[in-house]
Amino acid sequence: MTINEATPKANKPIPVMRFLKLSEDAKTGVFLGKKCRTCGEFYVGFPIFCLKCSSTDLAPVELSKEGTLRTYTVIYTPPAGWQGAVPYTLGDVDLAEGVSLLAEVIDLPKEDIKIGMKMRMVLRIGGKDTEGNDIMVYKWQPVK
Amino acid sequence: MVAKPMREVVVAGIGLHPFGRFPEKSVEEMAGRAVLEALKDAGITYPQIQAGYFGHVYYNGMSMGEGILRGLGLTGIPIFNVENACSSSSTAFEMAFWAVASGVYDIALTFGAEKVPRGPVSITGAASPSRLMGTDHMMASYAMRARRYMYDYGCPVEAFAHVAVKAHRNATMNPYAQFQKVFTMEEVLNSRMIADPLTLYQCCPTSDGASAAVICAKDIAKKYKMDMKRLITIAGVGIKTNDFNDKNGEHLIAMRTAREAYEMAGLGPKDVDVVQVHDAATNAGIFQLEGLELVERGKGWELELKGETEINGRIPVNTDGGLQAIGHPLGATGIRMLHELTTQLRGEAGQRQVKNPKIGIAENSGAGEVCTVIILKK
Ligand SMILES: [Zn+2]
Repeated sequence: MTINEATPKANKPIPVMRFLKLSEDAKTGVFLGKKCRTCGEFYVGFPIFCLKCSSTDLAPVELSKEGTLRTYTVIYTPPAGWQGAVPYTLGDVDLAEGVSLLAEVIDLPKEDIKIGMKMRMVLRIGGKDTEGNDIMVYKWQPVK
Repeated sequence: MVAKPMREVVVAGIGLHPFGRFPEKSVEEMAGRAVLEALKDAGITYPQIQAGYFGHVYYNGMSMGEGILRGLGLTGIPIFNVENACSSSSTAFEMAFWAVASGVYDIALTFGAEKVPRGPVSITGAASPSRLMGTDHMMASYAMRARRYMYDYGCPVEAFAHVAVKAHRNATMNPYAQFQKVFTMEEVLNSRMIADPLTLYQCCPTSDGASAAVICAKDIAKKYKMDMKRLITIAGVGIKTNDFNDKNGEHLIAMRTAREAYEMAGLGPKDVDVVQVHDAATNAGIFQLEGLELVERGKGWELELKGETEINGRIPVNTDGGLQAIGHPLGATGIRMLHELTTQLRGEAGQRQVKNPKIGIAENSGAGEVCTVIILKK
């Protein structure tokens, strides 16, 4: 088989962070985390130790996909590597489990943002990896 | 119980290379100049130095401290290279302090230097996925803390802007400062927005520069024929990284660090006459006053707006211009703060002299997070 006859490789979306688990069709996802069985503290991702009590007895959990906007900023001077629109809004959202996640806030005019708003996680294409696969990033969207 | 030094340690000499942009100069050249100035100020020569502690952040090859001091002579002394983000040189200073306080050395040189690339400072490396998320932005984290503080305590943006206005006015009286120009409140608020609510003139510049200090055991200062009247005592030091509970307030890490330094010094916030805080963004210049417990949590902005942090105010802060106006060559900043406190406590600050200060405190923050607090006493 020559190069020309090769079938194009299918796009296989990958998550931006390992703690973001994509659904089969990559249209939705969940945040994976851990819960300390000793003290009850929750974490985003896969810590080996509880940061509060240093226990290693941590159970895998799925975290909420909705939360409350604790604070925000509108970025006018983006960092290197940012491929989205400018200005853009970053929101830090507290989940019910007591952890917070920082991401872009979308589908909301920047003048309308308010601390305390309810937000839900949605997925968007954030870029491509070296093999051309979509890298899926999570963003915050106001809950209407 | 905090550790106690086994003997009194003093700042004997200080040196600074001006902060700003010096494309024609190497880090070695700037650091060398600050070191020579500190040696001259202490009235000693390089061969008398028993150890060197160098703070820096950007990597320019291995053993930079050795490379810098090589030009002053090959005396065979131990040289320690310290990287602790923006707290690098204050960390190096504290390490040197403890070595002298515990009798390992009688006299040590501690210094910091940096050439910072232009543009926003990134915390992570180039391949970090947080770059695709748009979250890797040093000023964004300051800005989000500013927004929440405004929401919680009713602080207006003018209070943050005042930190910059004050800093720039002070810097016009400091020949070492990167900025030498007065800015009005309107100019600060109307400058280009970086990360709302922080405008360009509320984010410290990136800078080149160097700082140095010679410290020694007080009981041997006479042997070195030092001018005893100009020696400034290192009364208390503290260094901390994040504690799990620090997520409950941005002022908490500085509070824990300062309490350690206050306890060692046998002093409290009410004793402080002149202050240095890490105002990388203007709002941090307010939060850290609360961390040092110079003012109640949530009330720092009122202190700032009332002008009480001015040179002639009740609690003079960042009398040399702070990070906002003197500039921020990361690894040089910690010792720069101590340079200013020493100058103030000696009564040698000229036009920007605070009236008869006895006690000075410096708070230096770094990503990580790191916090150092150092108390100097006349
Ligand atoms: Zn635990």
